[in-house]
Amino acid sequence: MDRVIINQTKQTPFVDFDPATGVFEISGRSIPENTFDFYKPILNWLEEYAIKPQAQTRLKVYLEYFNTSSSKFILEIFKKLKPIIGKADVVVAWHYDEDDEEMMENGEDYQDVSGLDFEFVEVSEE
Amino acid sequence: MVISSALFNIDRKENVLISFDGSVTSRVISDLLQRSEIALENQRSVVRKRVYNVLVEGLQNLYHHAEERPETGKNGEPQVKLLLWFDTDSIFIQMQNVVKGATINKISTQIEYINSLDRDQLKAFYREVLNNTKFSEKGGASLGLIDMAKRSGEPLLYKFSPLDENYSMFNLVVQVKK
Repeated sequence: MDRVIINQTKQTPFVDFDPATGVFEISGRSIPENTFDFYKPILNWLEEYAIKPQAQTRLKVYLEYFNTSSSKFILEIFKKLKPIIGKADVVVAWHYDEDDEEMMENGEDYQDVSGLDFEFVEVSEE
Repeated sequence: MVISSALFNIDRKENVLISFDGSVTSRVISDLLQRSEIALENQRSVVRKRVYNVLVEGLQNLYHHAEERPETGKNGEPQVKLLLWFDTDSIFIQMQNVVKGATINKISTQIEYINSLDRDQLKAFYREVLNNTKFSEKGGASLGLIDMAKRSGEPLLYKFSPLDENYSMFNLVVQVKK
């Protein structure tokens, strides 16, 4: 499988999924109008990856903000990783800025609803 | 709750950070976001993010509810009047757009329901709708409206003003405390 690297734009996040190391990242902003067009290929890629994952998969998520259309697709991303459980390890490293309680709560929502292992990482403002 | 009708005055001139009247496009949303970033520079980061989220959500909601509004833009884009204003302790995001009269009931029922929930209930409702675990009897509740209410922490304020027998002006004010 090929590594996926998508550059950040004003409306879409930076995405870097490396199938060779199992190190994944989504960061920046997610406010595209056409969330389907942006996320569908990513979901397809993850579906394929989950068939033969690395022993460890670590998805770093660090979003500044995201619209509700994105929030549904982000949930789908976590759902695509679920089949890995039982075969291999998968953890989501949910990052949020130190005073952003809402972003932390979003992470808790996802943890609850997705059933994946979450690590919460508070990022200090410089 | 007593709501002064002056609150809904979209033509106010005082304490206005941003004012916009026109078609909503991808470009417009980006520009408005940029302008609000500058206007809110001195606010706490958590307040700014709440305002951005409400702004984006409110504007993009207009795309998703095409059946509820008439096509009046050159290319059928949604039309909106937007105002970002403030008072001593809050920032207000106000949007006014035309909706079909037939949808007034649906919109107000949703907002009334959302406003009736306390913080924990709102969080739980958000999760339900996010996961589609329960199709709300409120008729496919809009995650966008729920999200705006969550960010705001205050009741969503709204007003409908009939234009003719088919259309009404929908005025929504979302309050974010500084």
